[in-house]
Amino acid sequence: MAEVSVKNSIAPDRKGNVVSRFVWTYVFATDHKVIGLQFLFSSLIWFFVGGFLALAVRWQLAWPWSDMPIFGHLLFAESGGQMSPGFYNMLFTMHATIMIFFVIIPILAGAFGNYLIPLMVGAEDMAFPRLNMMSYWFMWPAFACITLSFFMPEYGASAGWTSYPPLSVFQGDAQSLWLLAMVFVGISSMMGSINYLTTIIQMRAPGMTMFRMPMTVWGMFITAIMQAFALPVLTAALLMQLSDRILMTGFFLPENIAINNGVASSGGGQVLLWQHLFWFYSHPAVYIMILPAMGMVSDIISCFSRKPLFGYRPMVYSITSIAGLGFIVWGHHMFISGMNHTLAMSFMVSTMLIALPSGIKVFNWIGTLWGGKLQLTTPMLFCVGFVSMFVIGGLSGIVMSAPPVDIVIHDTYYIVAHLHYVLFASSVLGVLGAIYFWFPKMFGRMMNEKLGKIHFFLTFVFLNGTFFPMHFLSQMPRRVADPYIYEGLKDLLPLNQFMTICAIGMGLTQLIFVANFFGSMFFGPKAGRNPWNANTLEWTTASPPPHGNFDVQPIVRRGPYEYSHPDTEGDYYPQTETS
Amino acid sequence: MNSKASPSDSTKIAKGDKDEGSHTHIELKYQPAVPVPKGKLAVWLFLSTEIMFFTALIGTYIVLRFGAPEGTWPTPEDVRVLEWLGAVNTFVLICSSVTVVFGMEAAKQNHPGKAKKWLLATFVLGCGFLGIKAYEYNSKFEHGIHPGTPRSLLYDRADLNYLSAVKANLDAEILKIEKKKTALASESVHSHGGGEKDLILIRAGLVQWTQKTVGETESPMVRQLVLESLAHQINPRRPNPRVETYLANEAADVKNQIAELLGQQEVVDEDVRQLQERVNAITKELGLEQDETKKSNIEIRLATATDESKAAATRSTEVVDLLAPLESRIAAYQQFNQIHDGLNEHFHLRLPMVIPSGNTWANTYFLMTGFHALHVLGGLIAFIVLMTFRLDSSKAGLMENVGLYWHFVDIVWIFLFPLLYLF
Amino acid sequence: MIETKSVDRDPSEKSNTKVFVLVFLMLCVLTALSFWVANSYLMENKVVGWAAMMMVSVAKAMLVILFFMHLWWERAWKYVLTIPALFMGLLLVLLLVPDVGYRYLTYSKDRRENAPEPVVSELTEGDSVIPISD
Repeated sequence: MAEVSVKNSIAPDRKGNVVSRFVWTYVFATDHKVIGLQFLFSSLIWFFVGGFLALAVRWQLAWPWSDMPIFGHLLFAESGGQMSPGFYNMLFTMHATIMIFFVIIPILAGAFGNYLIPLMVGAEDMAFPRLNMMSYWFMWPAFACITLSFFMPEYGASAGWTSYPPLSVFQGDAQSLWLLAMVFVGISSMMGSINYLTTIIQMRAPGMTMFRMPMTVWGMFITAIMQAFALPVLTAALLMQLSDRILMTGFFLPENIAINNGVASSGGGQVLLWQHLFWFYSHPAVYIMILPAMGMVSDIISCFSRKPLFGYRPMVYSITSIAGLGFIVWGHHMFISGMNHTLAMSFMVSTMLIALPSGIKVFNWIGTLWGGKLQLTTPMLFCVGFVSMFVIGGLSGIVMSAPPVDIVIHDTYYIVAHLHYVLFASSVLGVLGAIYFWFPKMFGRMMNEKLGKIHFFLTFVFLNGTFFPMHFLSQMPRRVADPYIYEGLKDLLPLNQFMTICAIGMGLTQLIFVANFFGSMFFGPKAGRNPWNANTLEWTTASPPPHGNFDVQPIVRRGPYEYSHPDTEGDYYPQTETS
Repeated sequence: MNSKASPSDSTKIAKGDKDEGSHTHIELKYQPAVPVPKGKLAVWLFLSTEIMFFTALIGTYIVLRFGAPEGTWPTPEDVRVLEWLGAVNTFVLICSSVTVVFGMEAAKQNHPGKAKKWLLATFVLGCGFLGIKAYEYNSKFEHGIHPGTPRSLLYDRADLNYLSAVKANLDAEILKIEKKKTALASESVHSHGGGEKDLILIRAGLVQWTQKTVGETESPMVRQLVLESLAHQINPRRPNPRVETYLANEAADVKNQIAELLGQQEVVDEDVRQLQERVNAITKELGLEQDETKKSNIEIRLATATDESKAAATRSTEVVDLLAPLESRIAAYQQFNQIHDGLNEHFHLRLPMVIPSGNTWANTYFLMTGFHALHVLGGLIAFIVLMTFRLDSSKAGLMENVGLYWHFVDIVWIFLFPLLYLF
Repeated sequence: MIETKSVDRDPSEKSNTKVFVLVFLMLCVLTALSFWVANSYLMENKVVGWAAMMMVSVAKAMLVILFFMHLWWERAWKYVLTIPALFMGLLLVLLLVPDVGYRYLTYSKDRRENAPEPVVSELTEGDSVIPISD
């Protein structure tokens, strides 16, 4: 491993024909910026795949068993365009899987982590560039497995993204592919997190003390720690479930249970064990999906408020304590699983405690905005959206942390509302804001502000139209293809149709983003080194930064949030500037 | 990286890695938080993740082992675990840990030859560990102790599932021998699975008897006992006085029944004989008689006598039929009861065995030792790669990193040994 | 830089070798000890035996970590890395334990009927064995 760091193998201007140049620059890329962009593009492609799946789910909920446009005839010609309940199960399973493991985690940790960490701490590259390359390569077997699973007889894994046994063990081969894909994603994240940690610990520029690091780097740092500790547990659990399916072991299967072909399993296992091991990773994963976004949002808000971040150290401590508490709350996903009740109570208390550091963060963001010279650029709008949506998502989370409440609303659309407010309305808004913010650094051109603002407002309106009414659906069970078979739920159909229309609107709105993204990439106005007048190190180098990142040795003299500093003439005071 | 190790570089700011064929215009300086090379730090981080991986596996073991119904966990003898072999393997790994440390020390003092020798010793010890592991695996596989219901021979309970599995297995075995016999008609059959006679006796006296008893008896207790005694005779886990008493009582009972049936048989045989005589007498009479009306009378008498004779013969065969299973049962009892190591062991058979929680044991045992062995294999590959270098002091850091990993593998085994062999 | 420093902090090379040999001998003795515990009167109360064996294992692991993995001679960063890992590992295992107990207490009827048979049967020696025929 030490060998890897010795040389940087990539040579962007290597001679040769176009194909070999392309291969060496993009396939064998060891430059963290190229790898970051690779993660960004693949995640965005999967974002649209996942979005399509979500729209198909919404279609079924609004117009159950009706002919789906285009896809209905393509996939279900024999049943007259109707999807099957099993297909619906596949839709929500794959939607969740793709959005979580192929979009949000890779785009936050993979794309922005890769791109920003070395630039922000003042390093020429990651600590182990070739390990970094491997970490992207390991995404591809995962992509292949998931793509392949769509062509299996059951159209994909359909045991829910939580893959609870014994159901998951009864599934077809697509489930095995799903498990393999998750193992590969895990290996990729693992390599990435070790790389990030080593880079942040050992490769900071002179003067960049831990408490002078931007919040983005702190977010990535804490996320990497969480991944390092939580992922191996998931990997172990996935491998055990795989062996339950293939080697007929019985880690997660109780006695006297029959598998597909009627053979009794070896039994002796515990279904609860899977849930424990799975949520030991997957609850921290919830924070893995939001902490980096929180970090980036802190940086963007401070920059466009032209004010120092309110309470930098409390922000760092709260991010750390969210991570710490995040490891001891996983049981709140299992309140109705038959788990030990005393244990459930302790999980409830620790879950409620998380509201404290989260509250600190929200108050500090508001404190940063308060009295600032606000510049309502597109990234800023997305970040303000992030803060407000996070409040809604966070508050509904506290509601359901109490077992008595959770027992009632478990597996209903209230939960769906909560998780989409946290994962979509918070994380994805944060990611979009970050794309608008760092796009000039990545491609050297500005994005169109007008289109960006339209994109923001439409997204914001439509996402609330889609997800807010879900709060009222706390009697509607999730993961049911046709809830209207229940007499009491028939009245909910019009509301669901409204939500679906909003969801379709939200999907179409993203086309504006696509147009803006690719249009600006080629035709946007050229951005200088520092278009936003920000302080952090990445803005001191060229846009896009050259191989090796810095043309001047960065020496850090102050923290990252010295905006409107009295000692300087401009309203910002870059970290490297001599006083 | 290695330039960092030079003693001259004592400032707080370490130099960045050299970028050969450089496109970097300047060499960046860094301010490391931890006074160790990047590689070593990464190895330690990697080991932290590995700790969590093995913790998940050991946690699974703890939950399944201590959550198993009380008193069911197999003993080492049940599942052919040799404790001393585990201890030997522990010793082998400890030795390899020492040799890899000495190898690193040698490299540090710039003795590449010595370092390579120590490394080779470590490699050999690692291979030895895997060799012993393979031997252990093999000794379990050949007894059918491995996870996977359709192929493994482990059954948790002596129930009807188990009975049908034994029957199917035995039938297949006998069929195999018969096929061989027809193939090599002239040669005498030496099957590893005992003689055909023994197998047929097992089928008649044990399996079919058990099937019959289970089908006929009303008492669940008897059903359980007869199934248990079948499992006990195939693979006795330890002296089981309950089953042994049952078998002895049953044998006495069977003997009584045989005696009774033999008595009955005598009576029936006598009947048959007398009736046959009567039939013969009547037939003779019929031959002598000339009168047509009397003849038809005699014919009627003959028909009745013949019917009675036939009925008696049927009774006789019935008694013989009743006698046959009892006799094979008693023969099986007399022949197999003295076998203390069980039929599987004695006749080198592979009949399904009842080992309560045996499947769970096999699952966890092979899970943990399997992943540990994979890690050992990874270490061995790293050693091979390392041996292609000249192991002077510049490679001491690399050797230390591989050594750290190897020690971690050792530590995992230190915990697995008592958990799997001694608990 | 690092190696030289740790060498500076080490005792001289020779005594270092001595330390390693000593640690090796202790590891061998401890392995023998756990083997002895497994076959001794301590296993009469299994919990005592298990605890003793685990303590021996922890002692062995500590010896390997401290001396073979050089943590004895490292600086304070060793705590930052090892203590969280240790804590997380213990946390996972300890939080799994209540469900083990729970499984004991509420063994459902269905499960109990399908569970493997205990070796220790409820039947004691005094119970008569029911003959097969009436």
